[in-house]
Amino acid sequence: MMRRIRSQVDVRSETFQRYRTANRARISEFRRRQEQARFERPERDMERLSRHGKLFVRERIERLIDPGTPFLEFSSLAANTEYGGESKSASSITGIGIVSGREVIVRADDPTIKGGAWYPLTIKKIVRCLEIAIENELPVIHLCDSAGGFLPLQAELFPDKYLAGRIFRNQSILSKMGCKQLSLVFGHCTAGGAYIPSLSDYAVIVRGTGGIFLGGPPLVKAATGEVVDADTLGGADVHTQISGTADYAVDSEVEALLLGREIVGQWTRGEKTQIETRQPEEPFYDSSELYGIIPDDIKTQFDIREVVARIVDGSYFHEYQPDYGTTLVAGFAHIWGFKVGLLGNNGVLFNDSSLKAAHFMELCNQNRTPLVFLQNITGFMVGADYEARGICKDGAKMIMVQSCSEVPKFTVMINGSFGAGNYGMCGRAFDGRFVFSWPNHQIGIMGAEQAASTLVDVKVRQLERAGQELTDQEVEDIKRPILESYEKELSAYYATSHLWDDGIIDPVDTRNALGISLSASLNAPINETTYGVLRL
Amino acid sequence: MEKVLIANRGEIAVRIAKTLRGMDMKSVGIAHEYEGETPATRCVDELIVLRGDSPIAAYLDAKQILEGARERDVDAIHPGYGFLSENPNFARSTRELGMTYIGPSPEVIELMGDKILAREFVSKEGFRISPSEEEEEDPLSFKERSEAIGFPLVLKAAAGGGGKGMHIVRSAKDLVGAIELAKGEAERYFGDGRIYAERYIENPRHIEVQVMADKAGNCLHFFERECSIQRRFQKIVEESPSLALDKKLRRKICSEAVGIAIAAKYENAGTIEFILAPDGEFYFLEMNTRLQVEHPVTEMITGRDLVELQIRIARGEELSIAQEEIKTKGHAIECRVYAEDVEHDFSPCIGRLVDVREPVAEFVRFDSGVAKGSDVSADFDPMLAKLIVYGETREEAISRSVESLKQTSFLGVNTNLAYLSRIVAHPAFVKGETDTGFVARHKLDLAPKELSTKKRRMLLAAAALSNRDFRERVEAVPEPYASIGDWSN
Amino acid sequence: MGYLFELLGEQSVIEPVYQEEGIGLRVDGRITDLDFKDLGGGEFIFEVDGDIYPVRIATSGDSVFIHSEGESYEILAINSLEKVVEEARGGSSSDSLIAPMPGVVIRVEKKAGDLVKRGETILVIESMKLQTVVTSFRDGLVRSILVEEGGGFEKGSVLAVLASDEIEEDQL
Repeated sequence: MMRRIRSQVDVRSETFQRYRTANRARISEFRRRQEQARFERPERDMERLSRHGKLFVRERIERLIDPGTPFLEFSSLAANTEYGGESKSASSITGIGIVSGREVIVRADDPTIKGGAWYPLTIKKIVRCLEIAIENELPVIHLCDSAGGFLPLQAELFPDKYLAGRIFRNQSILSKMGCKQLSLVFGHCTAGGAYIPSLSDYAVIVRGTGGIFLGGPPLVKAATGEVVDADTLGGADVHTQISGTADYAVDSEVEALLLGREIVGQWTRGEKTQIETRQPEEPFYDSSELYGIIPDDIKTQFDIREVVARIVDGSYFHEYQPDYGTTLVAGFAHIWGFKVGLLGNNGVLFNDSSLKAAHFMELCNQNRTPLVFLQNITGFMVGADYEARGICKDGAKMIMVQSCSEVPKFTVMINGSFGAGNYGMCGRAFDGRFVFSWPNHQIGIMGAEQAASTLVDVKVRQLERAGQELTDQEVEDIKRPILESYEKELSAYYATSHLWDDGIIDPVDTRNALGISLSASLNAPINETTYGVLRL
Repeated sequence: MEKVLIANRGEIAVRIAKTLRGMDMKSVGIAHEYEGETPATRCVDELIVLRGDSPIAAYLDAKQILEGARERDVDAIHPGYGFLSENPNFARSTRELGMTYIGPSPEVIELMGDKILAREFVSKEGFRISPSEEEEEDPLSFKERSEAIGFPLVLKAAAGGGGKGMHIVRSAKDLVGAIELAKGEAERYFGDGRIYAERYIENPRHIEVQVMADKAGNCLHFFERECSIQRRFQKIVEESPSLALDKKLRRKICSEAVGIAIAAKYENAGTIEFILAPDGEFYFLEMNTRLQVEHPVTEMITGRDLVELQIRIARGEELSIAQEEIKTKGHAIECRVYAEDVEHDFSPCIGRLVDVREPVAEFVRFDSGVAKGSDVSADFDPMLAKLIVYGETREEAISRSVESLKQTSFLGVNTNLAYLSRIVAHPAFVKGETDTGFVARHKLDLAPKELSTKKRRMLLAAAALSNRDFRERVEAVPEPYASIGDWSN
Repeated sequence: MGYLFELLGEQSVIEPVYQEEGIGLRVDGRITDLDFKDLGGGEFIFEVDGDIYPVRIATSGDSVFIHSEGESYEILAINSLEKVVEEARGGSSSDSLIAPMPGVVIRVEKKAGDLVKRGETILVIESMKLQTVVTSFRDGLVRSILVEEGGGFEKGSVLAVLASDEIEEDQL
């Protein structure tokens, strides 16, 4: 049905070997940070966990999902650059997995970090995870064990539109949409946290350790003088026998997880949206060769087709308009059997490449073919010639068509995302169902060098007007802090820390991450696409 | 005689019905109303459904059975083994109602049914019984009389059975203490403190002789069967001929059996059981006045249908063969398949047979009372079937038995099939070193081999894939998740 | 977490290993290379880690019966939730029989010191003209009966208490 991409890469070449060495170092750094986020906890907190007969959050998830099945974790390095690094994975684990044969979102508090308290980025991560559930119409399982909002940072987590309240708003909307929610209450759900099980369709609570209350014992004492212990206030028996806030009381976490599995097994499995599919097959070219393809320097150009060949089924690719607007590569392929329309960058976006992208996306929308963007973009072409030819106008067409697309969109940030190119290629702001980044990726309004030069330029002109000149040392003093802060803020780790994506992934995991994302997205219907006013 | 009621169930009912069919006679079976269909109810021409609180009580309910027999115009009753087969009153009532009882006279049944009377009778007629003394006769001299028997001796409760309350005494100094102990236990277990002392024969073989006598007084023997392999005092492997008998001893023991039968004015099929000591001495143990479970062993090597002979004798025919005409050929071994837990003291097992596979071969006879779907209940003896294998030589019979046992399976309950394989394949059995202590002596060898971890994994894997719940859970995982498998990013 | 199966009194964990060709299994943490051929009528040839086993398989409820090399085995599928609940019941959970609603005692069938099986009737109560049998939720020993025939009780009151552990049973 399709021709196979013929790779031009020489795996024995010196360049391939050099790139591979560089990328392997990047991957081991990524894995090291991930390992730290996942398992490095204060001994005191781990001890307390076992003293209370509790399971570590990762073990809870492991026991919840069906044995032998995958778990696509989101934003494992969220908050890694904030709060002195103490809020590992933003104190919360989210992801997609299979429970009793059903595709579900799992959201879990981590009581080994400040008692599971919610930092501002925890809130952002939870809100995003529920947004994923809403966009893809997925059920959610909450593994509750949190002390509530992290009080020292309340201003950053409480009042605004997308802060704490949004969690409960999203839960309510999910319920309205008919997406099931199950809460397994292992620890305390205090204050706002109490609404998580309360807004769930099913709530299981563990005797002895589980508790649900609007105000915990200290707050109750402060407010009314009433002295009451946590179990009497909002323990398992109170809520399952008297208040009806929870539905099942269990004697252990293991029982809660097994019962949770049985509950999920009662949920009706809906029909998924049908799109074109074929029997999946591994890429013809080994995905580990991606390490030898991504250059060691972000400024080095490479052929996006070599990346496509190592992600899509059988490395088959039907390329659209192969000779037109060649800095944008577009075409059809399959990922884990799902038919997709792929857009990737082979250089800066010109007028023709922008028009080609817009045209191709229109085809995909009419064809109900999900879109996958592989971002490696420095932006749209600048200069008098291009402005005169309407590069803004053509770029606007690409942005308009992309924004209005109703087919599910997926973005992988594979190397660089700068300037308006980010917009055209479905950056975070454009409601892609999922956005993943590779560890080498950089993202920003422009590159560090350009930013530093631009700022030096501005300064030079200011001084010129006053008849002054900059010494080399002064130029250096202006540039260094800009370079340093850009260095930090452009990095994939900074981006993922702030939830600008749904997580950094190892390039070899791209196919699986997209496969699960595609499958998840098809739980929601694909609406007919209409566009705004295109400047023709 | 045209219509015969089989007052039994299970494999023996099936076996009797088969001969009746071969003789163009009608068969009438019995079954309790709760039993449902069984091979025994399927193979008879008519069926009497018995009522009553429990199935076992129904099979012992002579009155109900006889009433049913009369209603159906039955000419004769074959009692099989067990149940009413050694009940003189049943035999007597059958005759009084004008029907033929396929078996000996009620008087002989009565005589041989009382073990003490039987021993006294046999002894009085001049046959050998093991020396014994009863305490009751003269309690004061019991110790001296016991010592005179010689050691080792065994103290038994007169009312006892099944090995309970038995004390083996190996020297004079232990005797007084053992007598006290045995009396106390007899009182406690049976509410009857009477005991007796008997010569204890170590490692004896159990040899029995099949006899057949007609109304005219002709009495023939069909040679011996060795039934030394026993567990919980019950035979599990029987064979014929016995390696323990040479020509001379065989003639002696067989003619002694015929002599006892003639002295008792015996009629129809009977079995005289002897204890054979390692020194070649043998003693009368008891006489069974019915068809034995293990009779097929004899049928296999003599080529005679013993049930047919029983019927012919019962309807008045004379035995038309001479003793010299009864010859044996080859060797036969019977293994009794029980639903039992070998590892827990052979305790009976219950359950539903979800699958049954019988061995198929020319040299194999498989007498079974159960089939796929049968319930093995605690109501009856847990014997499921008998595997009888023929060989030109004993070695051949053994190797064929092992092969056939391996082919056989009753899934749904624990059975002793594998245990039987280990017995017949055991070097001591192969060498003919069989006596009643065999099972205890080779306990370790006969215990199941530890399961290898590899085989354990095979069994678990096969079980998981056959378990509906497991398969459903595994198959519920949608694509592409299943194909991606155990992966995380 | 995998699925539990019991063979010869020992439990094993089995997890599916999804792979391109059919399902593999991890048995007690060890990946088992597995292939089988269905010969029909319950007869199979299993190949496990290179060894070949002709087997006969029949199932009934949670049991799988396998005949292999002259031996028969019963493998029991265990529902993990049921097992965990049962273990918890036998352990620390409450020993009291609590009245589910207010009512009167119609009949007391057990007395302190009686051994009871799980599900055995301890007493019969009536409320709203409906009789309810109160049964023991586990095997054990009745430590005390706190109500009398004809007496009334409120919802939530303790009707009877079972002995809390085996030591007490031994002592009695």
